[in-house]
Amino acid sequence: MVEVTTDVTLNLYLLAVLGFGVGLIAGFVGVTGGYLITPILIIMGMPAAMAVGTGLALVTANTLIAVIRHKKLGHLDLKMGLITAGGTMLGAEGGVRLLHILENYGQRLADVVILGTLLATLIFVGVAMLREVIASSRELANGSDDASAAEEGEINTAACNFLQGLSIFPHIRFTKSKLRISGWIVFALGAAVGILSGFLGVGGGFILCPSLIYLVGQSSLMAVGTNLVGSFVGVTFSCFRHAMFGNVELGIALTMLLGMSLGTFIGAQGTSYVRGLAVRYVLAASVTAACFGPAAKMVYFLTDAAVWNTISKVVTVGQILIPVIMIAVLLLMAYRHVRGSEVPEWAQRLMAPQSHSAAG
Amino acid sequence: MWLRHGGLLAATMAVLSVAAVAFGAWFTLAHSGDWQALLDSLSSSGMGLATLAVVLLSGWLMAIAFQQAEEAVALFRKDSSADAEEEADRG
Repeated sequence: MVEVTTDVTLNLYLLAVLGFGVGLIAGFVGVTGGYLITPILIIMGMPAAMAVGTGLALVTANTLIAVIRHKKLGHLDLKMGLITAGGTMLGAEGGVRLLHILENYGQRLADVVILGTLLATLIFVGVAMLREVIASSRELANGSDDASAAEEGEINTAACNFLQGLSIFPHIRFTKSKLRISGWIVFALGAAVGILSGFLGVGGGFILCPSLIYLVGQSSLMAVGTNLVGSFVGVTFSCFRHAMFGNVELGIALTMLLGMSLGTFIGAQGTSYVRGLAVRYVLAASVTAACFGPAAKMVYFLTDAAVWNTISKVVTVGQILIPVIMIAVLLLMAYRHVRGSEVPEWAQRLMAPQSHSAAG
Repeated sequence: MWLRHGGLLAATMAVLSVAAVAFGAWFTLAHSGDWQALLDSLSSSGMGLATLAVVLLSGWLMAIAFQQAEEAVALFRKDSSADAEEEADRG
């Protein structure tokens, strides 16, 4: 047990196990996991500002690991990443200042606003992802060409055609991503994510990554790497600013990092056995499930009924367990498929082509 | 074979990197008073930089641990399949 404040003690083993679960999800779906970490720390009883700072320290370290990994794989558009990063830094500074202004009005108000904003963002992104995944799944079942293109990451939405067509100076050619778009649009996306990063303590990958795919028109693989560059600069800067205010509980961050890294390692290894659609299923389920913990905590803040505090803790463990169970089932199915054992039809559709061939 | 091809070295590097981060976690928890006193003696920018340095160093060490662990696993798989092929040839 570690004492965070005079009346709050946290179980380190539980935090390391939760870190492992978050790492498994983060490694599998390619996000930094900040949207899960901050609510966990708040729900476990940490003051909001400290939870945001500590979560950011953890996300910074985990994003660095991911950036090094993607650089090695060649999935980085550095030019776009750095423009996004510029916007993210500006936005992050705004987010941190906003949080401290809010804290001057009272800790309780800050907690409610942070949880409320996080909840609204998660619901918006979760619903949008679920709709897209269900549509892709139907198209894949019907054998549509659009589905296989989307599987390869070539998604051409009306929004990205419109944004690429806007001639706002400077119109930049991103050779690595094979597209031309105004630098201001990329910068604005980074700034929006930066505000969320500084204010909520999230890496912002769960917003920036889909934005780069559906709004900018990047391929899925390049979007993951590029989003990580932007996120890394943003979270590093936010972490530095929070550390200046003494908001980072380093011992807790490092303990959770140990569990999280192990989970990320296993999760990342697992992605080579499944299709992109399976990964998006887990991401959509994870983001949607992540809404319930903050929602229960919000009810507790608003009603002061202790039962909601207990419910929020149970739901927080559940929101990590659901995607973890999904990943475990998918990996078990992939293992059976590779070994040539029988797997249900729904699982066959979600297996990576190499595991099909390995089975054959 | 695994030993000769650097598998043990890679695994040792991975374990040592993780151990260094584990030591950092233990130190900042067990000596939180000393760590806090050190941070308090610095300016707020120094405090931010010191914390960030530890965070980035830990991330970098875990990235090394990742790479080395993957290398050790890959070498182990390569050696296992080579051994299996050798057995099959003999058979």
